[in-house]
Amino acid sequence: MQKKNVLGFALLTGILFILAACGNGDSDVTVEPDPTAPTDAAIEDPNLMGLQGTIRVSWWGNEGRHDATKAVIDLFIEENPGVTILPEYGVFEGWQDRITADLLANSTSDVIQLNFNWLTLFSPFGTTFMDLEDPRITAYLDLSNWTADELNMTRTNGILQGVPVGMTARVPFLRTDIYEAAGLDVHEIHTWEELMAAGNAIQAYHGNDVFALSPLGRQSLAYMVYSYLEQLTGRPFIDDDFELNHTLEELTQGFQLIQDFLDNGVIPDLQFDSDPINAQNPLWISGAYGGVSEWDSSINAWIGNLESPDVVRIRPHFTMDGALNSGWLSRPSMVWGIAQHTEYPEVAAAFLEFMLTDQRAVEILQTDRGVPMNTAGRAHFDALNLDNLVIDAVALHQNAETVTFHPMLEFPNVREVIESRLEAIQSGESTVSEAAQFVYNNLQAEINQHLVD
Amino acid sequence: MCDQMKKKKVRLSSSDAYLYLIPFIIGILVFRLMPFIEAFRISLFQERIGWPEPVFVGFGNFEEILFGESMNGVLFRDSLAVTFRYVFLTVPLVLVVALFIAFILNFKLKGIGFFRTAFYIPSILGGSVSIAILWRAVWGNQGLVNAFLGVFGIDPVGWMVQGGTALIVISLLRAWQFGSVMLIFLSALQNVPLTLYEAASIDGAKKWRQFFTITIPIITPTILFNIIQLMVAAFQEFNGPFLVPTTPGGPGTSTLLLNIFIYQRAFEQGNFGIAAAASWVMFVLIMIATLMIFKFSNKWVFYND
Repeated sequence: MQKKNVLGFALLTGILFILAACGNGDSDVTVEPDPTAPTDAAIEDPNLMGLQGTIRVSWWGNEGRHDATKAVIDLFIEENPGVTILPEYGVFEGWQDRITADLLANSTSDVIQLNFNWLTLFSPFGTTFMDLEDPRITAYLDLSNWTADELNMTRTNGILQGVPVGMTARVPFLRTDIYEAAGLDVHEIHTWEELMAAGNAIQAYHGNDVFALSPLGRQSLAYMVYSYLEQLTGRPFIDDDFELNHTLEELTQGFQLIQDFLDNGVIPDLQFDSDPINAQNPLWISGAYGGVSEWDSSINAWIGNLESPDVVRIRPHFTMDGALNSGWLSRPSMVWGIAQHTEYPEVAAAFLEFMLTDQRAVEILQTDRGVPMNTAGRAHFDALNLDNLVIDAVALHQNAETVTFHPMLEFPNVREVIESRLEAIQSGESTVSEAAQFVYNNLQAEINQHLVD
Repeated sequence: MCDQMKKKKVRLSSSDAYLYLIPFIIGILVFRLMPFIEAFRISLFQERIGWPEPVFVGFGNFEEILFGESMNGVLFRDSLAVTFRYVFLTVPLVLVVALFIAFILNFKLKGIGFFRTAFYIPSILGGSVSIAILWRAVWGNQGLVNAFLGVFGIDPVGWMVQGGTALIVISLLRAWQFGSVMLIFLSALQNVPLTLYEAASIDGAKKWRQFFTITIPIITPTILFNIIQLMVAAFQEFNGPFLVPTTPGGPGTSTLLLNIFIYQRAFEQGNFGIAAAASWVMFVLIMIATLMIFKFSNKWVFYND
């Protein structure tokens, strides 16, 4: 009897862990094998030998970026017949999860497009990605195209883990059709107070289901608060010693901004819109939202879905009287890194140099990765004289006094503490003071999890 | 001819049986048992991508999620509460709906094959992105359900954007995909001896009484099986709360089921120690719940023997 029970328990355990192990393996990644493999003749011809090897290059983005990057790859392969490049690309949603799994399995692509904060998240000791000051890299990748300050942004533990592509910031862009119908000139809206007044005027004219801005989304709400507090106090949200840089009273003042948005028709509450807040949002397209605050590099996607894209105007960041800071928070838009395990670091470096600085590559890529930061790429880019809203948006924060965004504010657990509370204010589940108190009590502990003794 | 066939019949020894089982056993060992044990090992370490060496923390990760004040602890306990709500909501709902539909489909009706197929189709569709989009179209603020309510002058309800209703929407997605459970019930219903119903009819028992005094007791082993497998699946739910809400697990933590918590810790934060510890807690919970159901099953499950 006892034996039977033990066996039964063992069987039950077995069945349970078989059931418990069932999972899902969906993937939305596109892998294109071997675009143009070099011919035997090309490899054997010493004049054509040059670089040799097969590397994988990965990035996230939209169709435009995919097509442009593949065209650059084709061009590079044409000039380097001994090289094969396997592109791997997909949309941003879920891309970080994919990179995490790849890093865990040590199977990342050789050349990797990285988000700025992934350097500190995945490589706090500067060991996950290749040191780009390694002579094998610098022989092909000219780092003098970046200033020391620019490269310092992509160092972790003093080791250069990637090269920045450009700088980006969240930029307000407003719809003149919504504002002007309510008797407002978008060019006259500079301050937070003027934005609140605009929210009220828009609702008075259009009704309670039209707002000055979109619901913004969790991250954008947080950026608004960071900007507001920097203007108010002149201090960044997290300081260089990785400490929360605001008092409870200051946090409460910052979080009150979101409540004021809600009370003045600037943004709707969380129950208003059940669709994701992105460029395809039906209420943005139909004109329920008078504006958004989004990454400058995404402007074309947002306005591209409107019936009349020319109604959109890019505006400087909202500010306040006596602001101690511009409120612009800029950060590298993205970073290119090279995998530690690559067998062909020279090929990887040469490809990066080509993609970022070659005139033809810059002409192909245009603004698909924003405005280039490196001097060679920027010179070619400027020569193109493109007429593009992205360039205008970048110029806005590039010409202003900006604060480089603290990468810790993009760590998922740190974001969770702040953004979940701001979302709770927007949904009415939390008061401003409760939210501020929660962040004040919990943020530092979350930051400390990432600090090395 | 028949004799010839008999001559060709090969008797298999028990060792042959084990031979045929080898691929399955290898699969179990490599893809189930090893990850299972490895997850426990990882749960004892603070293991993060990019950190030089995993730090042994004993049961520190378990302590953090079960009793800690960090976000890992707060959110884990939130997700535990949400998961229990989801399980208690979904399992009875699917069970009742599937049994009810199976009961109806067990009658000899015209075109019954079509209806059986129609009710089974949602199960085949699974929890894909397209189904998530469909579900948003049904339950969104401007969705089908609100449009229907509007016909009666009822104001739109934020089904997916309110903490109170978002979990119900996710639960209904699972309930909509009741086909497999329904098929198992249907097969059990078809095995109930007709003579019992005939005898009951002669004694004057109405249909509802026959259902509760004959059908239900006879299919209790099937009900037990369905409860167990529905409960395990509900504890492991991922696709619905990941794909349907505007933010996975949202709004707030209203659909933050355990698997979403585990996924976020592992693949968004790279905190594998916490994720592995949470996985093991989930396993233990499923184990305890299953044992309890088995323990009490002798009071309500009737076997023929």
